[in-house]
Amino acid sequence: MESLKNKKYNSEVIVTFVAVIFAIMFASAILGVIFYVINYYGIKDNIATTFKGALLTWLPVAILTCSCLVFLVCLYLYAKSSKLAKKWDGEDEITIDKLEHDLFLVNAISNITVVLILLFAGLNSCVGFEAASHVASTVIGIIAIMFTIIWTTALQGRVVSLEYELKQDCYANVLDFGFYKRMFEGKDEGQKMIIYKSAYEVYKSLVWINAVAFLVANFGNRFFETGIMAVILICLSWLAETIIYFRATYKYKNKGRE
Amino acid sequence: MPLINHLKEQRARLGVNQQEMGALVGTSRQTISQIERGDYSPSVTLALKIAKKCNVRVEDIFEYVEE
Repeated sequence: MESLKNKKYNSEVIVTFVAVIFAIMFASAILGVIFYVINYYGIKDNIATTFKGALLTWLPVAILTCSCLVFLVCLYLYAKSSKLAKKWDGEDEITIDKLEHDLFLVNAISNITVVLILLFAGLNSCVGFEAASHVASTVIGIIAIMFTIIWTTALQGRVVSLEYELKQDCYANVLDFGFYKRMFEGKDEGQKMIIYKSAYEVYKSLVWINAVAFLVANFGNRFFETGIMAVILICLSWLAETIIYFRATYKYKNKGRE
Repeated sequence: MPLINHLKEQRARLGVNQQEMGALVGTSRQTISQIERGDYSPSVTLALKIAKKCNVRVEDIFEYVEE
C-alpha cells in the first residue's frame, strides 16, 4: 500500500517537474526573443537613458517624500503605544496585546525601510555622482539616506527601550553589532519558537528567491551587459546559506554524542 | 489540537495575571499567553515549573486528548 502511494507520488512529482522545466524553457525563449528585438532596434539604450534620467532626477525626491511619510506613520504608532504603556495597569491583556502589536509594526516597517534605503543608496552611488547637472538631486538623495538611517535607528532604539520597560526581558542597543544575537539569546522558549518558525519560512523562501534571482541576473548579463558580479554574488550567497544550513543540522544532530 | 490546557483556570485560582505568572516561572507574558491560547506546547521543563508553582500535577494543567 505504502509503495503504491510512493509510486503515485513519484509519478506526480516527475510530471510536475518536467512541466515546470518546459515552462521555464518556453518563458526563457520568449524573453530571449523580446530582449533580442530590444537589442537589435537600440531600444535598450533609450530605456537605459530614460531610466537613468528618472533615477537621477525624481527618485531622490520620491524617496525623501516616502521616508517622511513612513516616519510620520511610525511616529504616530510609537506615540500611541507610549501613551498606552503609561496607562497600562499591568492587568489588562487586550491593551498590552494591542501595544505589542503596534510596536511590532513600527519595528517591521522601520526594518523594511532600512533595507529599501540601502538599495537606494546603492543605486545612488552607482549613478548619482556621474552627472554634474544633477547635483541638487544627488544632495536630496544623500539627505534622504541620512534622514532615514537616523530616524529608523532612533525609533528602533526607543521601541527596544519601551519593550524593555514593559517586559523586563532583554535589552540591546540598536547600534550594537551583535544586536540580533543578544536579543535572540535573551528570549525565552516560547519567543524563540516564533523565531525558529519564522527562520524556517525564510529558509524555504530563499531557495526560490535565489533561483529566480540567479535567472534574472543571468538574463541581465546576457542581454543588458550587467556583468557577472550579480551572478557570482547570488551563487556565493546561496552557497553560504546551504553550508550554514547543513553545518547547523550536523551540529544539532550530533550534539551531546561526543 | 490534541493538547488542551487549564492554565488560565489555574492562573485565576492563584490570582495572578499573565505577567506575574511569567515572572513566577521565569518566562515572558507572551509565552504564557501563547500557551493559554493553545498556540504553543511548552517544554517538559516549563510544564513542570508551571505545575510546581500552581501546586498541582502536570496532568491537572495539560491534558492529552486522543484525536
